[in-house]
Amino acid sequence: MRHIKAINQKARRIDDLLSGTEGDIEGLQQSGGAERPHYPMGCSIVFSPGWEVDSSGGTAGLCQPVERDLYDCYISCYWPAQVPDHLNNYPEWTSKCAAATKDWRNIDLVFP
Amino acid sequence: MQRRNFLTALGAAAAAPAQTARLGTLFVGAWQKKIVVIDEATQKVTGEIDLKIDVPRSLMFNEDRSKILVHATKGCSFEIVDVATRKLERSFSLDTGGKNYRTSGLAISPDNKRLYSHVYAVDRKIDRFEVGKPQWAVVDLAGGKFEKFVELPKELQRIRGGGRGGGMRVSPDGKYIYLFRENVAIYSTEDFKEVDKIELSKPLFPGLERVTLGPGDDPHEPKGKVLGFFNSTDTVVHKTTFGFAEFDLTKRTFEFTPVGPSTSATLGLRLTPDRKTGYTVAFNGMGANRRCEFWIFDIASRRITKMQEFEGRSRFEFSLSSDGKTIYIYGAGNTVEMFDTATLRQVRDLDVNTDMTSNMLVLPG
Repeated sequence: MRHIKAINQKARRIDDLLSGTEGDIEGLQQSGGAERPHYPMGCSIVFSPGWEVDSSGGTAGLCQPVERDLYDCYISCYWPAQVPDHLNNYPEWTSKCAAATKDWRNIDLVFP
Repeated sequence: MQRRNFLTALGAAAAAPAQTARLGTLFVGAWQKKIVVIDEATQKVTGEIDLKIDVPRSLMFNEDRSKILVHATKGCSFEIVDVATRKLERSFSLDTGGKNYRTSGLAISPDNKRLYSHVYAVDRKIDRFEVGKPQWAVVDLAGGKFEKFVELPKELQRIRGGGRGGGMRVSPDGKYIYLFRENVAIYSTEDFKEVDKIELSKPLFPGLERVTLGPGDDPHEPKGKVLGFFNSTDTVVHKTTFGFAEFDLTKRTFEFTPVGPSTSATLGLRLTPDRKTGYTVAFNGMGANRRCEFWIFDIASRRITKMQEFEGRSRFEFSLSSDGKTIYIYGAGNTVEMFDTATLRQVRDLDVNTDMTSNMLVLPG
């Protein structure tokens, strides 16, 4: 419950500033320093591998082709939204695919 | 050259060079829960070791290189592989019931009986997860269970990281454990009380940032010594400098030798069998502007003798062959690029037919 209301211009500006820092909607450009962009949604903006960004905010740092880096979605990145949940529900989703760049057609389809 | 202790110089002089190594065997973790075995002489995959628990995240030799300790991806789980028979010996998980542990840094005791790590517990309750405080953990490797927990001091609790077994080393007598982070702290392995500390950025070494170590799997690293790189920033004009850091884990002495202008990042140092020459990969810039270079060092004089740019893949790791004549670039994919150390040109691209997921262990022949 809010007990105090801003009634003049300066107070409203302070109020706006505070609500900006405490709000649940976060602008992508607000957090993080000038050198490291902040991505609250993780490395990808859609639920599909291959659409992620690298640590500098570009795509030059991503593996080429993207299949080379597929396993890292759940090993070091641990970003399981883009790939099946290897650790709990679908541990065998790549059991027929050894090298993703060559065998990606053998990756299991998963229907949650 | 800055010296804290004259004994360092004596220690360096006493270090005997390694014997000339023959070509040996490479072990690297791969997708589909296995370790790929590569023969260096024929440059072919000669076998695969099936694992039970999950995809390997990191590999470590024990002291006499008779076993490989595999840190699995799933939970706080480990598998032990016998090097001679190339078979999985046993697997164990340290997670219990709803309580899982997350590790940060690993080091095996010289007697191969214990594993030291930093862990924190994640306890699954009926309505929430409770995350515990970071602690020192001692694992009984024979029993496959935790032997002891000791709470970390407050200043260490907020510091995570250490990489693949990196950042932690045990002294040859097993009495001390070194923690290489923002500072270098030395703890007793009995009670985990701090016995000494090297504050890197204090007046003795103003501007010195953290020391970067390799994963500790270089077969030619002198026993009881650690060679790493450091970056320092001048406090007046903010010029960044790159250099060598050498630690003697027995005498607790160290020395720092500036080499030249700093670079964006380096991978760990790899030594030739005679320990006269060292190799690393240095990066300049990032993203689309990143340039990769091989750097060759003369270890005695601590000078860079050659730099050569190469087309590095987006993400990779590097290693050096047993005889010091071939550089391996691997990781994030199914191929190992081989470069001749004399010309620094690529001579072969080995397809291991599976994506690699861990560091590569080199077992000299």
